Amino acid sequence: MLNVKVATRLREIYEIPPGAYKVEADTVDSVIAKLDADFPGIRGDVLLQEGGVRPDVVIYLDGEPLAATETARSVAGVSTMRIVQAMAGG
Amino acid sequence: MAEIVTEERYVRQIPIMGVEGIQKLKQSRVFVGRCGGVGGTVINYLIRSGVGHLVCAHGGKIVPEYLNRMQLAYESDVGRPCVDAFKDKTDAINPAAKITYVPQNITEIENLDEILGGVDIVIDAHPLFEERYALNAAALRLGVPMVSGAMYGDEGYVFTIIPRKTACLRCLYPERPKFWNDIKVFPALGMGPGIVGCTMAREAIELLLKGTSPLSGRMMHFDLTDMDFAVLEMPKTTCNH
Ligand SMILES: [Zn+2]
Repeated sequence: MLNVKVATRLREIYEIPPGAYKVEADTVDSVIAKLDADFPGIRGDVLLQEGGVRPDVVIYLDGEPLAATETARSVAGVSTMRIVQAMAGG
Repeated sequence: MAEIVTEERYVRQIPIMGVEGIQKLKQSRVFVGRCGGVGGTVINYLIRSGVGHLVCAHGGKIVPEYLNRMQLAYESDVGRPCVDAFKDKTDAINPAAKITYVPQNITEIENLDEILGGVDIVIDAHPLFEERYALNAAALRLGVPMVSGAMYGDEGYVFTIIPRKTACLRCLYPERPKFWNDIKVFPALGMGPGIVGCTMAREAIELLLKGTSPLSGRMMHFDLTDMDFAVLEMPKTTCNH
């Protein structure tokens, strides 16, 4: 079971409770697809239409950043996936 | 009296950085871009630690909605120019700190490189991406480390950029998020910016003393809604910005 931590602003928009969203999935793409099934529309806030991670988002797999084009990457053995959206609040 | 206070006020820092460290901080110069919930916290702790010289840029006047998070703004300051209100507090906290206040935000400053001349590090505590990218570009141009911290609601992050050695802000987020300026009521409690500011101040002290820091090329990320704290790696790409 993978723990997915979703950026606060996206949790607000899609009414996702605090804490980790838990999901069984094989790849980053399939994690996002399952998230989108539960919270319709969120895929477009994480990935580009043509594929790849949006430039205002970085996805981390157990603390390592995923390159924007690597969404087919396996999440086997990964404990926590973080979706960190750019912030500027000061 | 002033001399006794000056000698005694840093005594508990001696086990952490030695007398030499305290001397080094006194000779250091730091630029702080925006002095709000995050930047004001950084300033508070830097001057309490004995950092000798600061240049602090912040435009506008104090409004009531600042009061839930800005350490350097009091209710009696509402309506005053921000820099005047901040100066009263910093003079009272540590009059030995020499602070130049610039009553403008970074994108309005025409002689930015001149203002940043001689600074050892810069602090990015801006609320707008345009401002963050402007300081990122200046830090890279001048070869000065930048400690960057930001928050949204109960979430926040801090990372440190060492020019030409680590990723920069544009490596991390190449484009200004279009949604940011459309946020109607920006969510903020004082604790999130406080944690960001404290972490940035600690990073700054470490950089001033050692030239590197635990978050150089890494990001401390937190979410207070479930008290999730993590240190994440920044992208390892070679920065060519
Ligand atoms: Zn870069």
